[in-house]
Amino acid sequence: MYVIVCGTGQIAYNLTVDLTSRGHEVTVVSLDPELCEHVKERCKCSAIEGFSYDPKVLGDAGIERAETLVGCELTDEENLVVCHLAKVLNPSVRTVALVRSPENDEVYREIAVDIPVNATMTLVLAIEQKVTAANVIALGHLQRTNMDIIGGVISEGSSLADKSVGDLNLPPGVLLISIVRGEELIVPHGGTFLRPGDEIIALAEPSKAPELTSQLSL
Amino acid sequence: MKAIVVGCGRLGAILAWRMVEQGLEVVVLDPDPGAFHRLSDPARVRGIAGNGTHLQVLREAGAEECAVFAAVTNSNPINIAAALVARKHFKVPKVLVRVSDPERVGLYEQEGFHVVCPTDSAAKAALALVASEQV
Repeated sequence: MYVIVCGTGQIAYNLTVDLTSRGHEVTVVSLDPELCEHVKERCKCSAIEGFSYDPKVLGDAGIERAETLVGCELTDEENLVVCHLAKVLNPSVRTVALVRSPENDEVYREIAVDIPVNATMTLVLAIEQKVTAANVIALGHLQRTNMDIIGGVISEGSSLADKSVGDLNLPPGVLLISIVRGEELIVPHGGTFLRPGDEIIALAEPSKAPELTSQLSL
Repeated sequence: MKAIVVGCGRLGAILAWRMVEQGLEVVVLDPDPGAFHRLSDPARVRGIAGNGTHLQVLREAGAEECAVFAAVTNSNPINIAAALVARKHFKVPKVLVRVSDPERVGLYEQEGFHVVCPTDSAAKAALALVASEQV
């Protein structure tokens, strides 16, 4: 895949290292001359020093043949403008952007950002999980349907322990996907009994996650 | 008719004031409340301290009923981002955007914006003066 990475700083650098090591072709567009030198040397990829939201610079970077453009500039505004410009120059490019202010997610998606990555909310959720419940973790988030994939271990004394899946009374908006018992992966059906120590994987609306968390531990 | 001006620098302050003189109801947005001293009659223009690309600030400024929106800060990305939000989210009918680079005027005009490029305007004005001197 051909990817253009726009931005300065650690995120742009590490993303480029990661993408090139997986065999993707990357061009970095950055105002930081040191970053450009670093990635050229370490990742053997091309780098252009300049404003990513300058049409001429994006043209030089080969926007017309890029499959994905990633905006990880310092401000939300820069990322919106570079993603919009990318779509104007190549309507089929997929745009991914770092968005720092959570309220910008929706409106940026409406305008030009196919996949907004909300840095603040990602960190908040990660920290919240460490603080509130060590035995439940978010495994992923489905952007389009806004559903979380959650994994958790059923503790002794959980209201879910020793019940059959049919009798679970899971909150609405929560779907049990599978159960991991030791080395065994179980596809649950109504008659499957849950035991303490089982790890369950579920699909949940984000607002239902706390309820599921408390059911697992109580 | 309601207008929103983003940026209360020299250009924003003059533009806001001229719009008031033409009978528009004007709200000016600038993150620095100290910038509002540039308005010649602050009593007749409402200033809101805030970022003109943020939904909440724009809603407070009345972007939903706004007829004219002008993004004229000295930052290209802020102007373009504000203009995009005004046009695509709030559906403001007339959106004006200031860009510094004359080469980008055409691109944003094609996107449906009214583009102001002070460098380009000044060069054209200067050229007109030179031409008239020669006649």
